[in-house]
Amino acid sequence: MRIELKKFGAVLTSRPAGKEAYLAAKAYSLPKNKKEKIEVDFSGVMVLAPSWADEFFTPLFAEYPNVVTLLPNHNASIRAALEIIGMNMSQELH
Amino acid sequence: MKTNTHTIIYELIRSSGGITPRQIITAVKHHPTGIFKHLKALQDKSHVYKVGKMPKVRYYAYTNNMPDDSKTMLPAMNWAASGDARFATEDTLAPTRDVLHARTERLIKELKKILPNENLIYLLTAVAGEIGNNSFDHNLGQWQDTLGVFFQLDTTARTIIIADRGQGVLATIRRVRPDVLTDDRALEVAFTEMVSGRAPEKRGNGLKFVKKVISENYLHLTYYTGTAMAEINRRGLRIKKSTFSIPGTLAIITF
Repeated sequence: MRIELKKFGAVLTSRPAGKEAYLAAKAYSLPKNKKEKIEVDFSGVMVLAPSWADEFFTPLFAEYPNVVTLLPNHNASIRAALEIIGMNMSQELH
Repeated sequence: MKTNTHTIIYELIRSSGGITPRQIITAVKHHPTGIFKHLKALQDKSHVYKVGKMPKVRYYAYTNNMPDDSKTMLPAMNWAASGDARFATEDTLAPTRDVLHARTERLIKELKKILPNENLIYLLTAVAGEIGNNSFDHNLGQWQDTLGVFFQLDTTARTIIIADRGQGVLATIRRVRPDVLTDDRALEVAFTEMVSGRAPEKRGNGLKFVKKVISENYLHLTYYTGTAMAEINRRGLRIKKSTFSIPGTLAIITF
């Protein structure tokens, strides 16, 4: 399945918003089968801060190990936020 | 005469509160090559710093980071230092995260009017959002008087000012690092170490993100807390004593 982050907003900056987004995704979007592949699509997101990213991606990767892929995106804010929390997109961009 | 030109350029930068190389060349009326040599020497001596990339470069004097005559800087500084409500308007205060979020979204629209680089706009917004949300993360229930943050964009001075009347960085850091005793040491820890009392969350990375974005994108940040201040530019982080005291935090991003 593919999860579109733009559905949580174009400006993703705070910890509470990130946590709320993860809980909402878990309740309504994420698969019940934890072996199903999940693609995270950043298109449409303008700003991602590490606080939001930490609250969303840390539990996502913990609860769905080895099945989550972060789709490539050129946005510098997204790349910088993911880098600072130690996460990378699935492939290098050119 | 070389020394005299050197002084003239420095005084020009100091008194201007931010000036372009073209303005310096026009004012000094010397060959550009010589001017740039002086500018490099002034930077090497840490008398001035530059913000931006050619052709959008401006030079600032270190002693002039907080010009007293700035119509936006002075109210922010006074509000952060005193909490005096006269220095903050409804437009500049964000008492809740929701208001702060609306301000950060508006920041994108305002920055798009003056900056052509969308990636830089998004990075600046992420930095401003991170600093502003930090205030809420660490001060809920701990505000000294006014709730929330002071948040203001000055498109003329090209600054984003974010301040709070919270407990300051030292009080926050000491909860997880009781060995930290001073404001300057607290700033150093906050900007360089991963401090987290809530593993496996990667808390404590917000200001490291801020430092990385500022230094890698030719921006400038002055961050005050207590009696210390941190300056970040492309050369990295420099922490020193401040000439005035800010109980919470005051951040000035120059772009």
